[in-house]
Amino acid sequence: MKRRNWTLRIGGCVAAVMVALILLGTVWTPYDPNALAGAEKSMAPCLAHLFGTDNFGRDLFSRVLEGGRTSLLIAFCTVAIGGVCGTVIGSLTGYFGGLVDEVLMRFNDSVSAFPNILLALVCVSIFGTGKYKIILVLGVLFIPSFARIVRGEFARERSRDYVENARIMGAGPFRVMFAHILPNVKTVLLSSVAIGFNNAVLAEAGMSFLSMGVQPPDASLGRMLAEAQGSLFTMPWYALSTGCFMVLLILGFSLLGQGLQEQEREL
Amino acid sequence: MIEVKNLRVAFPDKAGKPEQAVKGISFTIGDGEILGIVGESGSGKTQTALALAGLSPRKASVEGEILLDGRDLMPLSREEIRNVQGKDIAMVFQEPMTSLDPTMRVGRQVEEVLEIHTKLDKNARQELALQALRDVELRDVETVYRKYPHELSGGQRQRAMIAGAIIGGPKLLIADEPTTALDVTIQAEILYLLGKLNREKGMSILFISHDLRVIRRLCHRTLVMHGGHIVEQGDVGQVFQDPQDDYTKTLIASIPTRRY
Repeated sequence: MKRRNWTLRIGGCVAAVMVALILLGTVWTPYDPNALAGAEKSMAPCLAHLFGTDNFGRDLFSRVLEGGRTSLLIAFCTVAIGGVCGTVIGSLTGYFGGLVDEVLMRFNDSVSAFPNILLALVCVSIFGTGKYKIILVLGVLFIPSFARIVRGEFARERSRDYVENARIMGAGPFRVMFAHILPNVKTVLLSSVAIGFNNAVLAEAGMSFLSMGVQPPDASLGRMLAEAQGSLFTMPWYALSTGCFMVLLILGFSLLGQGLQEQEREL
Repeated sequence: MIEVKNLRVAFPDKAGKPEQAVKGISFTIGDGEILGIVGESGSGKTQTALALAGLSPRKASVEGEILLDGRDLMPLSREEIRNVQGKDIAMVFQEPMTSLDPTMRVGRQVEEVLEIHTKLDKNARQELALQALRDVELRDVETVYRKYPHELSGGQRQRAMIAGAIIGGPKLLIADEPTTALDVTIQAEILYLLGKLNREKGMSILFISHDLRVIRRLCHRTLVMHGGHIVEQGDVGQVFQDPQDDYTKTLIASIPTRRY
């Protein structure tokens, strides 16, 4: 008896559509996202401009795609840094335990004690803003949460029978960790990647909203929201289209992450 | 030949004082011999097996000598032990349902010992794995080779485990209650299979069980363990017909007999 996992399906579809749109945006947008057109400024959504235009006459749909691309790129790189480093640290500490585990986890605790966005803002005010600095700062800040999840999984799996069995065959610790345990915790890892992805999108948007993040000329959903705030009543479509786009992107990945967790529980 | 001399396994108790699970036992396993260790839970039989396999839990302290063909395994480093594990000493666990990696195809797990210890290429490994699966009397081995563990029955999994254990041609196969989790018919088949592998491959087997009937059926010689000591050892026939120790007598008396 197989129960259909609708959370996973809907989440997967929404996320896939959003990513596809953004990828499409990298090769083709209806208008040049930065082209100014004085005659067409502040237009409400219509067929020619799906999301309308801003007060410089720039096509908002094109700009949202452009901003989505920045968010996606930052989120992807952040999760890659946090996920890979976190997995390596978490698997080592979880599998071996002992002193290294204690030291790394206490360090982890102290980093986790501060809200990520606060730490990110502090780092940015020290090192400066810009796409790549944001990626690096967020990536490093994401390591602890991944490390903690992976550590828990490895600590649980290491005493399982199949691990003992691999060890009696003479498998070394790295073989046991990465050929045997890692594939067994893959679902958990994937769902935390999906959730981490969301957190990264939100963190980047939040920082850009506070103009501590991505700087012009790079478009960013967060900065667009900050601009839209000023004309919330005269051009509501600006905030609505940008906001909805971000909500859909995040919703897709949250559902995907949640669906993967449900999948794991059913196994 | 395996010689175990004065083996002690101790665990720290709550106060940190060492508490001995195995209290200085000595025995030998001859080439091609099936030695049975029998005893109740907590008698130290599983800790003895794990010590032989180099798999004692981290917090355990293990002392004594374990000689494999005259070479002491105790002073070896972890890396050196890994060269013995799987190649010279293999082990089959009690639970076939959980002892195979659920995410890896059965064939790959059967040939894993070869992947670790030899430089054979993929095709050569597959040939040997298929042969090993045939040796444990699985049918349709090409299909089994490609399956995942959850697609096999308990008996098939235990056979696959045994195939993975014997593929490297070990001198000693340690079987820790390998039939306990299986139903009686499959149990009989696995015992028959172990006997056959012992005769055909000349491999020594250390068979651990709490079931005296199983020991009597399969083993040549047996040790009775109680509270970390060996209370009696000898040929199976002799121990069963003429037990010397009181504990052994009680054990034998507790075997259910058929009533008509």
